[in-house]
Amino acid sequence: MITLLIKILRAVRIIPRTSSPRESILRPFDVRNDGAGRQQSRMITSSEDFFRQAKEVALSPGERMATKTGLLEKMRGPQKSAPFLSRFFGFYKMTYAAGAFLIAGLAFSGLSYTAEGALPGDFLYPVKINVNERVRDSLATTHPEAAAWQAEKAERRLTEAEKLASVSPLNATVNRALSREFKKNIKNMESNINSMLAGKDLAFAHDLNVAFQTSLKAHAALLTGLDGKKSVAAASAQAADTTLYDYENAGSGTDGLLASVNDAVVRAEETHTAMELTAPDLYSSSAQKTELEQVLKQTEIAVSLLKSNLMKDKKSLSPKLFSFVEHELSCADLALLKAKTATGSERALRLAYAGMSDAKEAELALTNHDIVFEKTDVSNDVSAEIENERHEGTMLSALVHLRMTNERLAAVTLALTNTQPSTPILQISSDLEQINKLVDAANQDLKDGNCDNALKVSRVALADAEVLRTQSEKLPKQ
Amino acid sequence: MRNKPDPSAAIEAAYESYADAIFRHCYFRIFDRERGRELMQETFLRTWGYLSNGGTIDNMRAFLYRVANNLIIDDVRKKKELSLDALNEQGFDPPGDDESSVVQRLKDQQILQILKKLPAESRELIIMRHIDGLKPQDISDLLGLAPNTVSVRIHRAMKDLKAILKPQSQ
Repeated sequence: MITLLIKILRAVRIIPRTSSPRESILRPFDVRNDGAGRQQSRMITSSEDFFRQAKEVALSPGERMATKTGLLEKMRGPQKSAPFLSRFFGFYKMTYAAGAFLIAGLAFSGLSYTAEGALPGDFLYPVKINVNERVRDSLATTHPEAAAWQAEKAERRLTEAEKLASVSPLNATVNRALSREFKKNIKNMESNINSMLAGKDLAFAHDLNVAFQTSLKAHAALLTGLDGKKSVAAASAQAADTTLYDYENAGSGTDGLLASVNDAVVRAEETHTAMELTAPDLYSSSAQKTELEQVLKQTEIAVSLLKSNLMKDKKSLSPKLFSFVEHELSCADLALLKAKTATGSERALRLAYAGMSDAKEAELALTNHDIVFEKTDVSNDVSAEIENERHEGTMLSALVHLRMTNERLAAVTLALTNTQPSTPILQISSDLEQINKLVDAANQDLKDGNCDNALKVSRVALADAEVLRTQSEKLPKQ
Repeated sequence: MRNKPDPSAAIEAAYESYADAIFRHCYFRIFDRERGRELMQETFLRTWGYLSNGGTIDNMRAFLYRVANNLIIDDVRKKKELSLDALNEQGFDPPGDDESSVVQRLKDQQILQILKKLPAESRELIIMRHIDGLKPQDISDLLGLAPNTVSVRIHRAMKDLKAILKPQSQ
């Protein structure tokens, strides 16, 4: 009976004919019934379709309005924060003990923080020396940590001296005290560095020593400048005679301290030379050295294989893919070259790994070329985009090469000014000129938008500059 | 010296231009329409806070994406304990009572399902590059990667996407 009624109603179109009233609503929107009663919208089968549909996802007008209203309300309304007094009383609700600890802790951390900036003669200076620094003494438990901390302490004494001397000449007592502390720190640092040399932390000891040496030189220059009366020549003459120079003899001004600093510089240089002399033997036994060799060898083999593959397949590859892989491979070459000439095995290892990852990128592009670079698979639109990106990438890479070249050239120029006057440097100077011409040419190419050419030229310039820098480092110094 | 525009006016203008884009970005990254909307609102609010405290913004679009990106990372980190993935597998995006249409939701679901199949890194890059339309340079700034690396990874992500779409076409 009921079925009959429904049939009649359907016939006169009071009830729609379809089984689900929802379907008729959904039909205009590409949604179909899959037979099991579930609705499905049309399958997305191409990336263009996918992006187009994804970009259509948006807030409904209602959502958009509601969010905006909420945002404006939050922007206009007062910032939610408890009034000061209620916060204050809220604080008191905590237990007294916890509160007291907190106050003590805050007060002390505040005190020790303020003490960090104290100078000799200040009320808080003893806190800095006897509390803050003692705490850090006990925190530096390993040799490398201890050495780095002692070096930092030594530098702290110098900074204090500089701050004081910038106001008025140092008085003899302060000078003596700072010198004594400085010498003590240096001695501690040296003993830690020696322990490191006996162990396996060679690279760190080397780096720390170099960094410290540079820093000391800077401090020495600053102190000399602050002293005013002393010329650089006089200071270095003192430094040469430093073993005879006792800090007890130091008068006013910074000369006592300065002598200690220069002494430390000389000793750091000696340590450095000693390290360089003994390093080859020591490095060859270390795990780092073998790792470096392995990585270099592996990457070199991979790069040469990829290069031959690239040349073999040149005809079947699109020009874009070809130049991309070529670029990655030359980056790998450069990284390997740098790894071989780098000082310090850690840095060399880092560079070697960078070369390896470049080679991997090249390999990946070469094996996946059908997906990414072949025109048949990518619409013209996307391939134009890729070309655009490649262009940007090339330009950036050329710029980086040029910057690195300039750094090398600056190092060479510095080395040339520091060489003995009698050294023949004609060859280096003319090479330098050649590289400068290359750099100019690359810059011009970049301006003309000829990025590929610029990259090629800048690569040559960088390789030449790198060689020149290694040569210039071997020149006898003044 | 040029006059600083009123932060509220700047944010209102930015909202008109970028609300949908930022919403889409958040929604597709976390698979939750409602939460995506909240994060979008929070993005504009934080940006307004930055401007009100005297900050200056050269590139509003890039700045908004940066804020949104940070908020998303925080959000995902917070939700990790609740196992967002498990929730998503049971059925992401529970129906809300707002007025977005059933059809829109079904369409969204298809897009989300495809995005969900992508590895996280590829998903992020596909959204930024091809849905948000950010330049590789902008993406490299946002993610702290070299532009070349970003380009290569985008290509790889496209490969992933095509691999997912292929079986669907059969």
